[in-house]
Amino acid sequence: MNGGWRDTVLQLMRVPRDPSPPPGSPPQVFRAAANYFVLRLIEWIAINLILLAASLTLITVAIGFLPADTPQTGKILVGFVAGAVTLLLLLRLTLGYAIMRLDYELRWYMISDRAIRIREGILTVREKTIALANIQNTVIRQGPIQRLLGIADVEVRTAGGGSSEAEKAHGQGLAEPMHVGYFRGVDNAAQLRSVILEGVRRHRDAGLGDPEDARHDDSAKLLLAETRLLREMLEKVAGSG
Amino acid sequence: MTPVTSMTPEQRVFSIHRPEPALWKYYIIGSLFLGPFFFIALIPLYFRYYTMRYDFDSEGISMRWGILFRREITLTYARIQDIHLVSNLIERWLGLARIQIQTASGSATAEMTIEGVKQYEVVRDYLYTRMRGVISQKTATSAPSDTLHQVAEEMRAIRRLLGELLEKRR
Repeated sequence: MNGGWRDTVLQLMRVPRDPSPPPGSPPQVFRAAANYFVLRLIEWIAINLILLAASLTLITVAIGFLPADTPQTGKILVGFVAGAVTLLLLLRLTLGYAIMRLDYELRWYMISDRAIRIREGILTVREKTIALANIQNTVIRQGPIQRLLGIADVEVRTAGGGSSEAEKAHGQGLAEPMHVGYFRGVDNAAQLRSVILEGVRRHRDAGLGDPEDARHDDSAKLLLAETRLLREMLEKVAGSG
Repeated sequence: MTPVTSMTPEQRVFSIHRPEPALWKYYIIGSLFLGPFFFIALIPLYFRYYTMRYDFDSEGISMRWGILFRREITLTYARIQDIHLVSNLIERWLGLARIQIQTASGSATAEMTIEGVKQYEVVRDYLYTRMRGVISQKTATSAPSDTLHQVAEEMRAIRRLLGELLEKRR
């Protein structure tokens, strides 16, 4: 019973089951925390309650304002529309729940020694691969409800654009910013971040690269000392000759 | 079937020049969502599909399309920063996915979107092996400091030689 509807929906939507691991060592796999589903459930209930209340008031108002001398066909039409709206709402309810549940279950956050791979989504499946060497910074975000539930979102950013408009659209679920990878709803954000940063540290030219001075300092000092000795010696040669 | 599987991933990627016919189907289905005005979207998509060409070579990709307004995008593998694989429901039904390629430029949308490829995982993995941060690593860490060390060695040798010269003179 449990696996039945899942398999049917996944088959119908052609959702690939498991993502292939990113290149590099066998990855560490992180998953969304159980409380992430609770958070989504709260959002889902809130949205559907609002929708339900709105459509119920709309229907009662429509029926209440119906003039007494409405012909029979008019009454049937109103009843039909009300029924259709309720049916659509119910469909939205069940479908929304199924997608939300699967979206929670089919999330992979994989980190190998070279890359991060994030796979998410049901209607639109996204697989992001970000090389650790290209990461600029990480951000942890936590809202008040997330804090109560003990979860947080970790963002990994690479160099480049992503206007504020794209991020705003992302907040409304419209578009996905391209230079950001999201680890949504993890309950071990600090650990996750330290794993990422440790990986990034192994790549000395991470991001757009660090200043190279520090790396060459030893060799440069050596070179300077040698050159100075050479000059002193040449001065001696010149002096005696 | 056998010739495709016996090819190396690189050869398989290099052999892609045209999008699959499934992309045209996808365009048709997508434009049907406009109802009676479907042809407004479909006509430019028709030309886009029939003029779309890919060229993968050892250094980079170029992609071009267009009849009236032509567009050609060229980028080198070494500048690729993120590779995303995106597919919606209809694309998955047709066995397609979009490969969105990002460089570090300022634009919010993908620099290049490779559409209509059924071997998208092969292309994605190949691009990954060639992208920024994967190849540059080995050379970047060793080369510059090594050369500096070598210069220092050379200088030391010169000093020794001069020292000998000085001894002889005395």
